[in-house]
Amino acid sequence: MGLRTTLKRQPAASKAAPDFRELFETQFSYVWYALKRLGVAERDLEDLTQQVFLQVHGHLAKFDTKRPIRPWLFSFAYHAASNYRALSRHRVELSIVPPEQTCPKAAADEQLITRQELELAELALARVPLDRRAVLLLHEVEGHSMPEIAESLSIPLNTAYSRLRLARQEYEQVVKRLRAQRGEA
Amino acid sequence: MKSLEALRALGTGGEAPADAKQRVQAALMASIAASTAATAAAVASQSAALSSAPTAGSPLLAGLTSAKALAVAAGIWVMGGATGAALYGALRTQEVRVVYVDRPVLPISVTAPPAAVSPVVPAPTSTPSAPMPAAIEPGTRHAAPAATAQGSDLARERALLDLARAAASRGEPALALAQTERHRAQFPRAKLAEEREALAIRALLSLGRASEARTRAEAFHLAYPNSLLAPAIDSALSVP
Repeated sequence: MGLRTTLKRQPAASKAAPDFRELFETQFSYVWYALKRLGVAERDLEDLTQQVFLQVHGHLAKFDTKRPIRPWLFSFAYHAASNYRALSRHRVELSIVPPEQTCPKAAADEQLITRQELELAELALARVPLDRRAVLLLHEVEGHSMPEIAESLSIPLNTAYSRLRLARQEYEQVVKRLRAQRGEA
Repeated sequence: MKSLEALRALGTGGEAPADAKQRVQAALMASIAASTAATAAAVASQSAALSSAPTAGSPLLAGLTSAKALAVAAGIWVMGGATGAALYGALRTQEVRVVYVDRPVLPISVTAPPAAVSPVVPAPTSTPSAPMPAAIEPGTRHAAPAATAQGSDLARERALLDLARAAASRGEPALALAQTERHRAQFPRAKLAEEREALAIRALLSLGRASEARTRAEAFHLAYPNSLLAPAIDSALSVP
């Protein structure tokens, strides 16, 4: 934390790094739900979101403004979630909690089906191992390109692809199993 | 393939709870201000020799706080650090019983009412945590499985206060205070409220908010007249 590092940062930052407050304002919900889907329990979301933004704040000057912000933010969420899991292994409760039950009330038929499908998707997602889930989320849910994802997560492109392939398989399997449990065809 | 489509339809989630956002923002600003001040102080002390002080602040931080606020924050931080160090030294000589309790083991025995739970002060993170099994009453181990749900709450409480304590010992009273606030919000009927208050009071003192600390200390004495932590608070308050 010497003067040298501070000075070194200056040129990078003057290249219009995103404004932190604005980032927080616009991306809070994104980070929140990313963490949630990465298996962080509801009660710990505030802590983890704060942690993520604190780190984002520390690294903001290094952000390459030509890249999309979300995969970059996601990588912080991913690391926070992995650490969180490592720590919570020792806790009494594990966070294999399924995502909250979203629909207490039944809606119209058509809506019900969609809602069910979405719920199923969230549930199945929660069962995919974390490293694969991260790729699945970024690619299938958020629609980012594979090279972008590999770069964000600091993994080789091939690894990213193989994780995606595995994740899709695992995801489909879980969906199938859940459907069978529910007595669907 | 249909199931993957459902995945695509999920989207990135909705709006996060607004109250949570507010709380996180407040805590975040507090800890950023603290670290900003730390950086500013470090920069200022080094650049004094280089006589380039006014421009030496990181531009990123400058966007968050005006130079004036930064200077004030730096001042507070330096003062807070000094008093904090002094207090820490003073407190250490006090007879604060430090008992390290293994996480899975509950310090609550079946017979003891919750009010009688003595404030368990886990060792500060810097101390090599030598567990002291002797300090745990023999009966308590049996009580542990019976109260798993309670236990996890207690563990979470303790984890949060551990964070606060760690922040305080790193010389980040603002962050410590923020953590105690979060503890208060999350656990309205906290088991470790006594410990939290003690932490909060010391954090307030380190931040130079003496009158707030005093008010809270009075409430503390009323609520916990026989607290083991009371002497530490008193001596912290008596330091000018």
